[in-house]
Amino acid sequence: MAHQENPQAALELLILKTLAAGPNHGFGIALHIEEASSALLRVEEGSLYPALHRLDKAGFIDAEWTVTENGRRARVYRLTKDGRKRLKDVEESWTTLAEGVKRVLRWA
Amino acid sequence: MGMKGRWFRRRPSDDEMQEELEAHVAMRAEHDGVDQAAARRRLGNILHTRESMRRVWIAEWWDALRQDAHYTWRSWRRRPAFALGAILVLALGFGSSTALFAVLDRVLFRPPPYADPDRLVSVGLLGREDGPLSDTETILDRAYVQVWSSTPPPFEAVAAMDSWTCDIAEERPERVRCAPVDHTFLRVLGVRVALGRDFVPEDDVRGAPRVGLITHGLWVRRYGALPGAIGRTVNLDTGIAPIPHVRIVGVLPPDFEMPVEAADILLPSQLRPYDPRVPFGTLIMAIARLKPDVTPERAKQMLAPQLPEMLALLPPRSFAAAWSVRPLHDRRVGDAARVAWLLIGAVAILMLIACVNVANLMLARLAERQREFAVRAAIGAGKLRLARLALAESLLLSLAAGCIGLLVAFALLQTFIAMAPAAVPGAYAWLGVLSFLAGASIDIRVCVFAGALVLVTGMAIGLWPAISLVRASDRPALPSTRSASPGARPGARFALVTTQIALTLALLGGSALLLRSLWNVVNVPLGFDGARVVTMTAWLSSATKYQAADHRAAFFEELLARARGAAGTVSAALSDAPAPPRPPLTGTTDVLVEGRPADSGAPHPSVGIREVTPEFFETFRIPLVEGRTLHETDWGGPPAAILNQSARRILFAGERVLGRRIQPHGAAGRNNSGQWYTVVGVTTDVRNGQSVTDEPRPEIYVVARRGTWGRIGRLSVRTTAGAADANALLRRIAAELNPTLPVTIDTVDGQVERLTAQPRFVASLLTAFALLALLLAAAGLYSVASYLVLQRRRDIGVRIAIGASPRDVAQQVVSEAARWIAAGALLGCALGWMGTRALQSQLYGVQALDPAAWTTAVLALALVLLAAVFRPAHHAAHVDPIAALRAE
Repeated sequence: MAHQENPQAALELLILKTLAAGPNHGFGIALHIEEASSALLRVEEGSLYPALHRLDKAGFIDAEWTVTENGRRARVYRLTKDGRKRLKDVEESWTTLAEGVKRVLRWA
Repeated sequence: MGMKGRWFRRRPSDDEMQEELEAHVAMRAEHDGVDQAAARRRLGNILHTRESMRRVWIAEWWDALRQDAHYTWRSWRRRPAFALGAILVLALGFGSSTALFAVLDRVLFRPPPYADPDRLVSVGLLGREDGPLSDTETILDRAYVQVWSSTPPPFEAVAAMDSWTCDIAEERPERVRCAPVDHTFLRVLGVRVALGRDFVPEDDVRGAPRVGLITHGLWVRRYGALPGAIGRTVNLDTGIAPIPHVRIVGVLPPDFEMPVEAADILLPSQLRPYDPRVPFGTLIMAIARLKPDVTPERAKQMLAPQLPEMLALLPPRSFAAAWSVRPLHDRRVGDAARVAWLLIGAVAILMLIACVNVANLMLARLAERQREFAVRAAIGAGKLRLARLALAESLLLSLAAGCIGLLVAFALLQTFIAMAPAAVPGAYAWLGVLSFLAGASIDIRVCVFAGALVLVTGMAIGLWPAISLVRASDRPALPSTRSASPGARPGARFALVTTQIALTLALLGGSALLLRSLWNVVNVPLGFDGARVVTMTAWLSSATKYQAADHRAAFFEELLARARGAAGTVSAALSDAPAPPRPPLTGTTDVLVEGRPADSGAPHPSVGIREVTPEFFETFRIPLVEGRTLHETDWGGPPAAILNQSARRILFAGERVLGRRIQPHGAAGRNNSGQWYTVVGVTTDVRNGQSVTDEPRPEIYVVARRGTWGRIGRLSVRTTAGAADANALLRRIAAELNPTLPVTIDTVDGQVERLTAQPRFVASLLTAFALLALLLAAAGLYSVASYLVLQRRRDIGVRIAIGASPRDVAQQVVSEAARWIAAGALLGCALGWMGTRALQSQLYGVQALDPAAWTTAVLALALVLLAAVFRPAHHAAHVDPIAALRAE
């Protein structure tokens, strides 16, 4: 995935990071991102699911239907080995980018 | 869910996506404490989201493919000539390959429809050429019964089989093939009856009530596929003896095929128990199932000890026999396999030429579209994307061509079947490949072959353009028109054209050889004049009034008398055997000569015996060399015989022959009557072997006896009437004598033509392929030369501007083309030289390296190809220098 549009890259990073904490379903991921960012980031739910499926297709996450504790069927995602590696890469490049942007902003 | 490959992720179904989103909405509603509608709003347009999710899974390949297809379609519409040309070329290639595969699959690849066919063998004795034993395995029935009273050690089971023509002699009479077989026959093959029961050992005992198994075809045709056919009886007549009240006990499965010769009814052979009083003496075929781990070679060794015992039972002088054990499939296809490979090779070359042609066209197209590709590369289309576009185009071409090709294949198969002579019962051997035509059809197997061919071809022709695109995209974008471009590596295209020319020449040379050979075959001097001779074969079934030999003789003599009296008849004669060049029915290695002790003299090849009435030699215009022809008084007078020159040489080398008395003797039953014949004349040899290319064999014509005749008579009439009139006339004469009598009427020319059916078929196919190849090569050369002229327009313009004459310019184009033609022709000669070994066995009277044939091929090639560059050369000569320079 050489050309990654930025909004998608950010969402992908957030998803992978969330799943690093443990398997979760789509809603759980959205919730976790909102809570962890103290509601600063609100996930666009319409693009969350396509993003999840993209990651699934790329082999970074696996999906499985399970029943949640309150008895609801949900599609639960978990990070694969490839996904962990991917998370590390994306995290690094993201930090670098954020650092760069921060410096530029300071300069201006 | 365990680790999955990166490329094989399971795509969730639409329902799953829907359910996932619904679950999300439900959880959101529960979590936020709002109603479903609000939660749904938060998610946005669910349909739209689901569509985005779906696109994640299908986008990459399906969308891209659709895009490519769409793009390709657009580019075709802009240049329909290219697309149509390429599709047509490929469709012709696919059509011919598929139709031929349908025909040859059964000869070469498809296993025979038996259980574990690898362990089935044909077993028997081979004789020396010209001996009484044939060159395919046979076994004398007497020896089979006595020596193999128990199954020989190499085999699990053995079964004998034979094949007769017989009549269903009852209402709705019908001529069919009957096959007497051992009761073990179907078990050896591993075939089960579809209905009823198989033979049991009790059926196969001499004198047991006759039972029969009928084929599925006969069951449907004659018994309306009713189960009630089982238990019905049928009256058969073999022409030698009636077999009344045969009870049908079973029906064979629909896909059943006899191993060697077709049959409609199987009967128990009832060879056992051995009874010395029963006249044996028929050569039969035997099939066997090898024990596991026994190879045919090993089986032959294991049978060796039995050879002397077998030979002792053969008639005296059946010399030089040896065991043969070979796969049944080999026996089934015989020589057809060689012809089949020849045809496959030819069609493969044609296919290759078609591919090269289309690849060449695509390269030319790429050259035209180089700017467009450069633009696409510049705006970010990846290398692979470009390569894929080329592949998609070639695959789509191939696919479209495949669909049309299937139609072409259907049409071709119909043509092939029309080319094959109508099935003649028992005429397998000399029809070769054509005898497999009847069962050929475009079935699943053939379609799978065609599909695979389409895919491989699509990939193959797209590969070169794809690679050249990838390479070209490495270069800077938007080059000027004269620098490197995808198709602009002329070397590649010239290589393709040269290859094409070489392959074409190989095909042309091969077909020239086959045509020469066919010419030789068709013009083989037969030794007689068959033009205007019409033959009629009549079979007297025993169910009718012709029980006794004298009744039959009365019938045939009356038939002959009426034929002689008919309008237009020049002469007419009866014979027991089919008309020349078909061989006589019987032969013997044992001809007694009066005054010579039996068993004296060198062993000699089998001498054919043909029973004829006077006027036989006049009817066929067979020239006499010595003595006299048969007179009317010989028929019914003292028995007379006429030898052909070969027989004279063998029996009376350097001796006086006229007036000598001979007695043909031997295994074959009919003339074994102790009759002495006086030799009254000698004729020239006429062709009388299995095929017209067989050298004439020794033959004795003996005068027919009056007042006695077998069930079959062949009347030959030389007439001044046309074939159709003669046909009607003879039919009327036969009907006057007996309106229900089945007769077959044919011209001798027609019979000769059928004998050459296979060489005709092979030569016409190969010639068609070669002409098609020549057309393709011409088109290929034309396109490359035109391209070259287009490419060099500026150079040519400059040259003309500085004073080169149009003639010089045209000459340059032609001489360049001549160089490629020469290179291709040289390569083609080399190819042809290598391929000739495969061809030689199919050639008659011409060497594979025949200079005339190859010279003709090279000349034809050069002529057509030079004509193809005429237009490009003409264009080059008329380049307008101003316009050419301005175009830059």
